[in-house]
Amino acid sequence: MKILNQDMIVQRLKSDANLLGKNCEFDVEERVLDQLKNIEIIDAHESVKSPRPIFKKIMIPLVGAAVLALFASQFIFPINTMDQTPSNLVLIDSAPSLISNNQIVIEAKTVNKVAEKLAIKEDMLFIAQVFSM
Amino acid sequence: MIQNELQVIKSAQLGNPTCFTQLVVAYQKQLSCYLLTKCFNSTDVEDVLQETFINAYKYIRSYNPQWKFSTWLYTIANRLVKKYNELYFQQNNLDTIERTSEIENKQPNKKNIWYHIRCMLSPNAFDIMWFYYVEEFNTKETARILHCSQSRVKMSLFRSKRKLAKNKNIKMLFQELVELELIL
Repeated sequence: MKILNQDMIVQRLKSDANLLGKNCEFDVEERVLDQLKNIEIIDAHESVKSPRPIFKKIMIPLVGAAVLALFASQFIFPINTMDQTPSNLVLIDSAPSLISNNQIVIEAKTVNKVAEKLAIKEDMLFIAQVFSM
Repeated sequence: MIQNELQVIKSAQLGNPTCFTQLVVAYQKQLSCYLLTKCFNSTDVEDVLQETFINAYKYIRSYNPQWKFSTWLYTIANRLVKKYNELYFQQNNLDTIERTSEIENKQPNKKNIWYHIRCMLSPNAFDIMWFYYVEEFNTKETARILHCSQSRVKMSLFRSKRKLAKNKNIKMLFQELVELELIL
């Protein structure tokens, strides 16, 4: 019995692939060439520039808000923040690797950074107030 | 294959349509064979083929020579295929059960190994096999075209080969009663 080897199989896969196009000849060369005259090549850098500001304006605050919501749901605000600014906020987490005296203190500057980047200090204060109630 | 392909691409990037036409001539046949397995009629094949090249010309400055030109071309084609197929389903109110590609519509193709592979594997697994064996892309390039991980490509190849090796039609096509499982 003749044993097929891998090369023969790969060869068959290739030759059958070429056979597919045997009865259908597509020749788009002229059609493409004809259309190229009216097409302007787009600079890759230009094409990616436009979506970025929209991304910054919409997506980053949305992601940030989601992160803050996650913070709010997982962390406890132990202090009354009614008269506190975000920089004074102390957040407590339950991540075991960061546990110190059974509490984890998320650095206020991290919170500040998020709030600053998102320019939603007031919203954050609001969340803090709700959770400190 | 074009001699000095990179040079031709560079000229095309500067807006030389004649150079770009050389790329069209070089790649249209192999691309059309792939599209025949993906599109649902020959008109779509032709349209996708044309639009792939037009998009390639339009965005040729974003081509990264780190990758093969064909990898980039197939990435564009693959996106367009999805777009055209969705449009086709919407226009014809088809559900997934009725999805048969051009390759499956043609009777003579039943003797073609790719006809059986197309019937057996999922579209994604089929693409992976095609890119790996026909286009000779490595797993990294295949993963890039299909926007998936390299390990997924490797796993899919392994599973597909096992599946094909057990298929009677595939064995009959080779007209051999060998255990393909051992050699694929």
